[in-house]
Amino acid sequence: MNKYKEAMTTLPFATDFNEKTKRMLNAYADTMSHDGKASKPMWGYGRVALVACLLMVTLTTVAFAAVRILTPKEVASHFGNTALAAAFESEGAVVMNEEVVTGEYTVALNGVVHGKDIAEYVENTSSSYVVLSVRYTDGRSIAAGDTLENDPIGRFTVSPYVHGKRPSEVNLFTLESRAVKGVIENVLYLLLETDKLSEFAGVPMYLGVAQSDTMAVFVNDEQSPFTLNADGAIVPKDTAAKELACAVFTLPQ
Amino acid sequence: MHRIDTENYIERVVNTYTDTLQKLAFTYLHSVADTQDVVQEVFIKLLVHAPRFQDREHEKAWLIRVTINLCKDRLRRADRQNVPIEEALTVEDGGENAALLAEVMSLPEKYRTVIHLHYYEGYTVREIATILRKPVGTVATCLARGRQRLKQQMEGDFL
Repeated sequence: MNKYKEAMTTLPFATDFNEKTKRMLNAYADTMSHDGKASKPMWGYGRVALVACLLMVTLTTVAFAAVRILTPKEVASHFGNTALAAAFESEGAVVMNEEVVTGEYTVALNGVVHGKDIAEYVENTSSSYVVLSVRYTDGRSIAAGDTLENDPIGRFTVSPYVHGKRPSEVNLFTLESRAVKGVIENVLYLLLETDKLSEFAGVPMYLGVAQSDTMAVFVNDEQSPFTLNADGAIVPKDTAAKELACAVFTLPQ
Repeated sequence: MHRIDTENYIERVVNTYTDTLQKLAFTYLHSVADTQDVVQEVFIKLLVHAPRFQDREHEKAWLIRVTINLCKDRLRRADRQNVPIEEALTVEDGGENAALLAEVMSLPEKYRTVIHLHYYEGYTVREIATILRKPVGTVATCLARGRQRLKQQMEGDFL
C-alpha cells in the first residue's frame, strides 16, 4: 500500500455511517410513491429506472386550463384509499384549503385527519393523514407524460416538522412518514401518512413543502430551506424563497 | 416496488461505494462532516434518478462524477467556512499522515483528483480519463505535474 493510501485510511469517518446511511435510504425509498401494483424490481442494470410514480394523469390540450381543486375525500379515493376517503368526510377531519404562493406555484394544505379521531375508519390510529396540492398559479398545464419527471412540479415533496426541533432532528424519516403523489386534472396532489406525531402531542407541528432534486434538503440543516425561529417555530429561511419554491403550514391538531 | 430488492440494492451500493466516495469527497471538502453529507446526497440522487448502468464500472464512474459535482457545488456556496486543512485533519497518528494529506489537498483540484484516483483507487490514466470524461493526454499531464509538485514539497518517498 502506498503512503497516500495508507494516510487516507486513517481519516476519522464515523464507524456507523454505513448503517445510518442505509436506514436513511430505506426510509426514503419507503416515502417514494408507488402505484399499488405488484411491480418488478426497479434497481440494477438493464431494468426500468425508478421514477417518482404518477398514479393518474389527465392530459389536456388547453394551454391554460381552468383548475378545480379536489376535496381530500376525492384525492384519497383517487389514490385508492376508500376508508380514508370516508374518514375525510367525518367530523374528525379538518378541511382547510390554506394556500401559499411560492415562485410560480400555489401550494395548499387541503385537509388533515388524525387517526385518533377516525378510529372507526383506519387500523392505525397513531397515524396522521394530510392532503396537499401544488399547481401552477397561472393555471398552465403540467407536462404531458406518464411520469412526473417531465415537469418540475414533480420535484415537490413534503416533510412534517415539530416545534423546537431542528429539521435534522425530527423529519419525515424520523417520523416514518410515507407519501404518495400524483397529478390529477393538472394539479399535483400529495397524500402524506405519518406515524409518531402522537409522541409530540400538545406541541405545534408543521408541514414543510419544498421543490428539490434531493431529499437531503429535508434532513440536512444546512441545505434545508427551513429553520427554527427565535420562538422555536419552523419557518422558511430568509434565503430560501430565492433559491427554491417552499412553504410551511402549521398542522392543526 | 419489491421492498427486499430495494433493501438489497441499498445494502450493496452503500457497502461497495461508501469508502470510495468518502475519500474522494474529502479531497475536495477537507471536512469529515461535509464529506458524509455529500456522500449521503449522492446515494439519494442514485435512488431518485436510478440511471441504467451497463456494468459495475459504469455505475462506479457515475457515482464518482456525481460526487465531484456535488463537492464543487458545495464549495461554491458563499457561506461555507474555510477551515485550514491542518485543522480539519485529525488523523490517528498525527504528524506524518496529516502532513502528506495536507500536501496532496493543497494541490490544484485537477492534479489532486487524478492523484487520488490513481494512488487511492488504483485507476490507470486511461480509466481516469474515461471516468472524468477528459482526454488521456490531459490526465497523464495532470498526474505527472501533481507528482512533480509533491516531490518538490516533500522529502523522501511519499507515494
